[in-house]
Amino acid sequence: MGSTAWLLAHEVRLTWRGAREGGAAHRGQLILLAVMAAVGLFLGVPLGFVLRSVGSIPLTFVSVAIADLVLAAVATLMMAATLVAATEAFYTRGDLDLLLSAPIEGRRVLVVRALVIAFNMFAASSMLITPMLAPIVVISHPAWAASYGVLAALALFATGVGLILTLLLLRLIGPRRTRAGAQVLAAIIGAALFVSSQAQILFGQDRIHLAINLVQRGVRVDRPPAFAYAWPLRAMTGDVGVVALLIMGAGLVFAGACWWVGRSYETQASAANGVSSTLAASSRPLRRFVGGTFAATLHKEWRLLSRDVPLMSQVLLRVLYLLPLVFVSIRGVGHDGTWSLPTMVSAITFMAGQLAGSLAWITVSAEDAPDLIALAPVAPAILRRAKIAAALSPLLLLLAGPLIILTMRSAYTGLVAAVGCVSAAIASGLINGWYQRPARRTEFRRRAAASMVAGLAQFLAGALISAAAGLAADGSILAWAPAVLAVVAISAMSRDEQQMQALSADETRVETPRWLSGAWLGWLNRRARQIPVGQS
Amino acid sequence: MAEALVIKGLCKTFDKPAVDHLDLTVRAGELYALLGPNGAGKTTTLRMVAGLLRPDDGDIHIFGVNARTDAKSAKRITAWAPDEPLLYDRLTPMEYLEFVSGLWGVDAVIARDRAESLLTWLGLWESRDQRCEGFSRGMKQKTALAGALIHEPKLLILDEPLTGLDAAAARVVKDVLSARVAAGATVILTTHILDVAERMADRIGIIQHGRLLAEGTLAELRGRSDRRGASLEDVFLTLTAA
Repeated sequence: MGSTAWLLAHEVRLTWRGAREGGAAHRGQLILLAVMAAVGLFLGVPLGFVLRSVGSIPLTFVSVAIADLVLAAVATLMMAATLVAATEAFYTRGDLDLLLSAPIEGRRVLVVRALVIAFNMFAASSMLITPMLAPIVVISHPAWAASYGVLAALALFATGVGLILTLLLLRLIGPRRTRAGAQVLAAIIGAALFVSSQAQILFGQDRIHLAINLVQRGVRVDRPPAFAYAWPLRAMTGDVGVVALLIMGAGLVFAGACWWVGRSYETQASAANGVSSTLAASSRPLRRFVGGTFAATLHKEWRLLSRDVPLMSQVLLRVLYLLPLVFVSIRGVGHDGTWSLPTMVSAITFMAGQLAGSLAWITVSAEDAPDLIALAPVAPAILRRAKIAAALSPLLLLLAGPLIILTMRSAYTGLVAAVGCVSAAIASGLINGWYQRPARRTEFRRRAAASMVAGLAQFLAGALISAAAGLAADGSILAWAPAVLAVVAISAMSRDEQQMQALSADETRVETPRWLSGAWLGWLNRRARQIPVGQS
Repeated sequence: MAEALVIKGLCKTFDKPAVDHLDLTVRAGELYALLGPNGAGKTTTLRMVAGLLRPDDGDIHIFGVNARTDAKSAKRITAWAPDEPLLYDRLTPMEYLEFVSGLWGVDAVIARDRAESLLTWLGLWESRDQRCEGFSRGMKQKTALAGALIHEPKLLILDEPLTGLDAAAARVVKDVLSARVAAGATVILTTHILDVAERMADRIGIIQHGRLLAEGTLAELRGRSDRRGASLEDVFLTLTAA
């Protein structure tokens, strides 16, 4: 009792039970995983047969670069996730107070939490690659199973880095701001690879060619790269020695991080305890209240949005994705033949719809005091409209820059882009209003994933509207086709007040659009109720 | 005296009947304590009165307004404060009150003045610009109570309003409730602290298995339980054990 292994078993049990909770959202994630697994298998089996005729992968500049890029992508995503998880190891109380009040070394608690984080990372990434990798391993290249070793090394390395970054943040900006800082940093790390992949757009072709030449001086194209550049490829294709080296290196980083962070874990975790974002008592004069339900709700949602740091980091991530488009606008389009004005209009419109969807999902569905709303003598539609308006208004501010730049280049294009963005944003807002998944804000990310129907509908509507905007910007009469299709699709997805209230009140119900009703609706909902879900 | 709340034949069944043909009348301007053992149906009854739960059967009239057919009008004059405060952690008390007054359509200028006096009265004025997430349970409860009072409801329903409060906070809440009753409002509360009901309530209703077991002033209840001079606790235990 009290050993690291015993503590680890306790944490794993809690993590496993937590993963099994989540009701409809959990089922949605399982369905998504099943679909991804099916797609992976669909691609993996033929690939396994194709690769059967290929022997070992030659160590060329291209193959090494691809392997390095894949590894870098996985590593950045893992680091973004582990940074947030490592921060939570300091803040999430749960049983932490109990553990720290027991006669157990704080470092041991940290090691166990860190191991669980690393294991979760490894398990999640393994689940993603297995459907595609397993057929290749079975059919043609058994040695490629060594990729799991690479994943384990990455998970250990990312967790170690996450712990170090967390402690650095705690020391640099203090426990009050670290949680928020970690979310923002994770968003930046998560987007780093995408932004760097757009380097050609950001920095121009000449500078990129210069960088590639510099790399090529180190790694000759006509000669197998001998040193660390080639390690990822060699490890993934079964070089056991390199895998062992990677695991040992990552293990050292992990152990070093646990040792360094563990020295002050108890102190830092205690400092993080009870930290809230309370403001000092103010003697500033009272401002006037806003009047009316709509305005009061709008203000309340704006405040909650601006104070929701995890959400803002998500928004920041999307904004980072928009950056390359903005750079193209500023540098001028079309000179490298990859981006034309219509393409940009289409891309910005699509991003606007997706960003609006993320914000509307939160404002419409996240509600910490649903009973208060239910008690109020107001029509739900007014509140819903206010919440959607609260979600869409910051988006207009974010998009103002790119739209102004586009308008300066071409007034017509700017106008089309503005109409496209507003239409896509409104469509996303409406869809999220129709398919809301009410949950407390505090529980939101854990158990209330966005409605799958809403996500798919939003993607479809966004794609159609962005296609219409792109074609319209190009002056094509064909723009009407996707525009009409978008209107038809959005109308088909609409739901009346009664349907929305019924779904809000019963999270086991299957989400169905207005046109899918009657016997089908009854049958689907009866089936849904047979599946037990965790009730809040 | 007019009737603030009239409940007739109210029924609600979950796995088993929670409220079973309940008849209850609360007079205007009185403080009515609804008592009962755990699972007796108190909260279910009050949630149906507040419009949070749809009854299976029965009628609810609040100051003559049919709460089932004209829920909006009934909600305008009613406030509900549950044991778990209906708050937003990331809002300050002033921002919370601004939102709640907006929901009830209170004029902005009037709402601001009321918010100032309520927060002062409840001892929260110094904390008006702090987010609720750092509040103690008592402070949260008092903030929620301010929210319930901002539209000056004619009927105030409180479910276990004193749970988890320290002596000072409990005293403030009791004073506020007494003041509201003195100002003409009607208060219905549930509580497990029988001493509070004994001291504060004009009339007491005891509910068990979703039915009204006994009702009246403390003296009347003593008479019904044949225990003259007994405390409310003794009366309650006698009646619910019978």
